Amino acid sequence: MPLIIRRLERTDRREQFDCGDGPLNDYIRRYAWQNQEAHLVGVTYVGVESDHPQTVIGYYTLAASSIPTESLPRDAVSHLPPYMVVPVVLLARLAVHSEFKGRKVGPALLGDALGRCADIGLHIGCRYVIVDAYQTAVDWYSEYGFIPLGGAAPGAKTQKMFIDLRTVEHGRKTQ
Amino acid sequence: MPTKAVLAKAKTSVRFQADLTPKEAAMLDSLKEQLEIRSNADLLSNTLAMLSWLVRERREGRIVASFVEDHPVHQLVWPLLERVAPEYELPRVQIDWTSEELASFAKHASAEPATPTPALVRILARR
Repeated sequence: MPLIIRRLERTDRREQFDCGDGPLNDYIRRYAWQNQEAHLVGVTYVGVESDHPQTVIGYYTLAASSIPTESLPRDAVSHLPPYMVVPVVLLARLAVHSEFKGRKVGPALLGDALGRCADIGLHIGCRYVIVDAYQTAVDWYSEYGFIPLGGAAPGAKTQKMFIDLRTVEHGRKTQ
Repeated sequence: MPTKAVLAKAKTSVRFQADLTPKEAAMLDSLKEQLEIRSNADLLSNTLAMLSWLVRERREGRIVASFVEDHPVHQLVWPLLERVAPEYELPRVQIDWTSEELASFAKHASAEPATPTPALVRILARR
């Protein structure tokens, strides 16, 4: 069944969403809509099948962020654009309903997210996508070219990774 | 002894200093001449008014363009301005970084971008 990926709508059925991870389930069931429409802290895109167009089978959330240039080592700053901050897009969450695992929904969502980030990047001058991945998902993101960053806080359950949007743009042109 | 007027101005104005390249300084002088503006402060004040207008227009979803009748419209495409465009604006969040993570990011980010992996090429083809 063809997968449709679009922005989350109020009428989407997401209360049954279960990816096997409590916080990711809670987010789409309880917070995603409010965060998108009321609090403006993330825009969620959902995957639905064409025969059940309101039932969420996967989702991802994007938000904008930035890294203050002054917090980066001086020798690295000379290679970056001459602004006070480095704009980045945060891929805040990505999850797939357990029943749909192994059906390439995750890769489809990631491809859509990165393509969307590249489009945004072309318009607003953003260069990097950051993801704060569960340790169990690090290999999965690495397969698509995300680079793990060293120096996580002691006891951190997640691993920060990034991908350069020029790599994504190159990937789009390679097809 | 400073006059009352000088003291009042000192209290209400903020001093602004900028380092410009010789090319930018020449551009500044040229603009002042063309627009018959005497001081850098006046030029900055007018530039701020213009930039505020551009931001307001783009934030409301309007495209800024110039045209001459019967000729193609020239649209202003300025990545900095697109950051406030409603169609591209994403909500902003703060990411907590350790200094080691930032150093690692800076090291990787200043290198040449990686070649896309076959898996990345595959998933981008679907979109």
